[in-house]
Amino acid sequence: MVSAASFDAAAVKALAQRAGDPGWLADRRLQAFERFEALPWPDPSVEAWRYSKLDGFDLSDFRPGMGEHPVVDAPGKIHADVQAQMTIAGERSGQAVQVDADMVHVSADPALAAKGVIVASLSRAAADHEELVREILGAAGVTASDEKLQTLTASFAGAGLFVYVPAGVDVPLPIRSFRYITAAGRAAFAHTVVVAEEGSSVTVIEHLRSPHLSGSALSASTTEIHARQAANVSVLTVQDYGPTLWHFSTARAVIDRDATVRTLAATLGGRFSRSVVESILQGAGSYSEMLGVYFGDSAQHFDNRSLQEHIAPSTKSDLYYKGALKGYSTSVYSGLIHIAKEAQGTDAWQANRNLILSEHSKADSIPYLEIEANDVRCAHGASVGPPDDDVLFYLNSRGLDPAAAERLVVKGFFQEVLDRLRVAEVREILEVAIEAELALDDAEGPGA
Amino acid sequence: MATKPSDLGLGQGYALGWHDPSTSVNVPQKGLTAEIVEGISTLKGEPEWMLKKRLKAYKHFLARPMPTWGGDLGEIDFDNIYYYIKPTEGQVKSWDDLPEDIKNTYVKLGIPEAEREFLGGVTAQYESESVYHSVKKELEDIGVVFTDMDTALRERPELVKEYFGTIIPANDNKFAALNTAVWSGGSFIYVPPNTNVDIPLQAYFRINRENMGQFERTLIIVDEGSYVHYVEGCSAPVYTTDSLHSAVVEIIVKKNARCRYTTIQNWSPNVYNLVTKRAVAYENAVMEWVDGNIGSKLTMKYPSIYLMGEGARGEVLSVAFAGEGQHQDAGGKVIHAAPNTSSSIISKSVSAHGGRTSYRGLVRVEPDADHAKSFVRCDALILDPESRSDTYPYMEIEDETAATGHEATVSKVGDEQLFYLMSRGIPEAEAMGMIVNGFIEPITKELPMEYAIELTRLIQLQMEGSVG
Amino acid sequence: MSRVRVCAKGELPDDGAARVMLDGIPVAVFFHGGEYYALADTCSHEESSLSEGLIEDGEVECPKHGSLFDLKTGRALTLPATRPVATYAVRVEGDEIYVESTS
Repeated sequence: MVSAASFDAAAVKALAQRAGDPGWLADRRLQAFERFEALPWPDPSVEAWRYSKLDGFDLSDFRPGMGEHPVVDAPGKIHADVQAQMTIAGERSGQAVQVDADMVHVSADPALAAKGVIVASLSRAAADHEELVREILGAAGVTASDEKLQTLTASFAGAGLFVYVPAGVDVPLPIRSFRYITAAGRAAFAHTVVVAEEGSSVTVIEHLRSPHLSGSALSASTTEIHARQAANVSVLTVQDYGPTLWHFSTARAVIDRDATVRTLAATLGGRFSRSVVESILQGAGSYSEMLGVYFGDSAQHFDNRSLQEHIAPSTKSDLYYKGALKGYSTSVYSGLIHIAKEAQGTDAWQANRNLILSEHSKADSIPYLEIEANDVRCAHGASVGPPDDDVLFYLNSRGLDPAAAERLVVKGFFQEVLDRLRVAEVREILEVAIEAELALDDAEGPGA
Repeated sequence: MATKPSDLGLGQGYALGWHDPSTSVNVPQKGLTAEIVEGISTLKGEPEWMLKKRLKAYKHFLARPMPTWGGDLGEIDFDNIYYYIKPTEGQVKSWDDLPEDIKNTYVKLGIPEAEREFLGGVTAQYESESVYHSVKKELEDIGVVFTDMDTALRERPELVKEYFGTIIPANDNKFAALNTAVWSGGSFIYVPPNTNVDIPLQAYFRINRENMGQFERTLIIVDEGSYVHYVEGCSAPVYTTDSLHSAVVEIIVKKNARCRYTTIQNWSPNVYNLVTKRAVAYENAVMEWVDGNIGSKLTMKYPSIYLMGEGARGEVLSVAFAGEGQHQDAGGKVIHAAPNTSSSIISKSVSAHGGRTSYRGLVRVEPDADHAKSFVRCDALILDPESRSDTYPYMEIEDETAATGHEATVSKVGDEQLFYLMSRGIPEAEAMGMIVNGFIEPITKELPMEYAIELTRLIQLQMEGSVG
Repeated sequence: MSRVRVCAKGELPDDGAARVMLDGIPVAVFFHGGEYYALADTCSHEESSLSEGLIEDGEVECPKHGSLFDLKTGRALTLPATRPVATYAVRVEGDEIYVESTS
């Protein structure tokens, strides 16, 4: 059933039909597509894309999905190859599995459904809970610098996860979303929405994987998080694609009074990975913890962007992104803390630390502050450099060979962020990934 | 709870806000044309190559668009500015020969006293021309050239030609192009090898005439193994229409030499102060910028250091105050372009009564500039809810052995600190002054004592205006 | 050694420049004072094309920030450029102008 479709309005319509979208959702897709066509592709003359060239990216290398993968009603019926890749262990309250552009399985603990918790594909939720979904979809707002990718996603996200937790309900175990890309030329889009009503709590783990593909593939996702008063939401994303993927993601959390949102952006794979995470602290007393981990090798390029937007008093945000770069990999981190005039009593922290492990890797770090309130405590820091000579010398003198010494330093470097993760299985999977990266032969140059 | 300081006192009752009726010998028209550029060069009797440079720069100025970042330059009306005025016929060598009203200007600024006690020599600039030039015998004896740029071009043309525009070429940015076209006055310093100039060399500037632009051009060459400290502080009277100050400073610090350039800028709050300052430091050389921005409506200034020789070191110490209606957009840039170089940028800023301070900086490490070490620290104090502070630090690191770090903090005056001092009987305003002075102490301790005292007193005055 | 044809003799005006691709790298070819010169087109300071710069007195001025480069040696004569640009050989064969890599 695979045909050489391209990214055009006809493909959007076909997708809406196949997904069984209600009329308003199909219209929304088309409007987004119109906007997509009107926008130019970002280029380095735009400040937000200055360090990330899209050289070699060509949308015509990819094709939108045509429903290649059928929906299955039980996780056991998911294709064995895909199942083998779902390596994050642990019990869960719900799960969603997306293969290429298709959501093949979504399910949740029935006891939660009885309490009104919704875990469904976006199209399904749009059909069953029209009013709710219609009101919420897109309400988090647009990330201006990445609108071109966001509108493409809004048009073509056939798969997409809608998680809704009613007031006072606690979802005890994580909801796991697994996204897998199978072949070169595929384009996978995901639009994820998490709404936690007053006093509720939920954790979502996203795991993105693919095998080492023969050619490039595209992954683009938009995540919206709404944490209502005193709610508690965690969204932890581990991107572990093969080395030929182009990955673009934006995540925006709107945080109300006394609510907490914790996010993790872990970047391990892809040829080019851009992750934008934004926290809008609009309720007094709200808190956002934003953690980031990345480890680059060969010729990977990672672009991590963040926004800590404080527009209410007594809000707090704490961002900590750490990355290591070997081979010929490059990374750029750029983050803005904006404290509006009304946001008196804000505490905002931001730190980005980069460990350079090879002659050819490079990191740029551009943290910004725009502070318009004065009764605040705000600090940010960035550093780039190789492992400390003194520390390496000390370890050498204790009998560790250079490779072992470096391993220890790198693991210690990341431990600080990993220790803050409250979900053990995510911590474990990252520890394994870091070990694997360290073991990689550093002599791999571009194209390896 | 923090008090509400009134404005920094620069808008009302500005202590130095007075001016002399102008005694300019000619009255040129406003606006800029190629003819005016030519006229400037002809009046000064410049060599052909300088005229060519000016005209080429003028073309670049016209072609380049206004910058879209930094402060708000929207209200500058280039056609409403005088670009050159010659206040007296020529230079004078001793204090007594100056015209009376010009002498008064400098008496009020306290030059004679300072000159007697402190300084090696003063090249004082009035409007666009250096009118007072006094070089102490000691300097002449050791071969140090300290004069104004016009004189330097006349007496040491080969030296000027070798370096002029090599650090900041005319087309570097719109305002460097403007300066290269219409520059007038400014200081020229040449220090021969292995010579230490023990006393700080100084200059003063004035903008006196309404809509007068100031385009001084400074060139400092410190030859191998030498040391010099140059201090500039300026002051201008208050006017309602805006003045433009667009200076260019180029500094060459050769092998094993050291140069410190200190500025305390206190322009009245209607001045646009857009300055390009850049130095190059060669092997084992040290370059230090000490930059104080207190006045002006908008300052855009990022003293830069290119570390081009192995072992070179660069340091930028920046302090900025922004009061009502002021925007200080300042910082520093360091480019590491040789092995084993080091740099530090320390910025302290204070904003109050709606003022805005922005730190804008760049640390760049080029490939093969191995074992570079760089540290940037920016701290901002926002004294009241109306004021604002931004930080835009850029790090471009292209060598894997570079160790670079950047830290920034933003806060208000701590309640506990303030309470502690007040509970010891110190009035609130004075306590605020002490805390703010303590905050900027790492910078003020590097200033020549006269400036440090003046700055400390200025802050005290500002804080005093704020309580009750 | 690879080479690429630039233009016909006389096609480049005095103080004119052309831009060609040689081995995937843009190269600027200048005609100044009766001689041909060739330099790597991309300024060593930032992304900018030297073939669009002003030529005078044996030097080309980068249009972005005014750095001057020596046409013969590629040396950076002013900041903000800190590194030289590569030079290329220009061959005049009959009525054709070629540029070659020097390695």
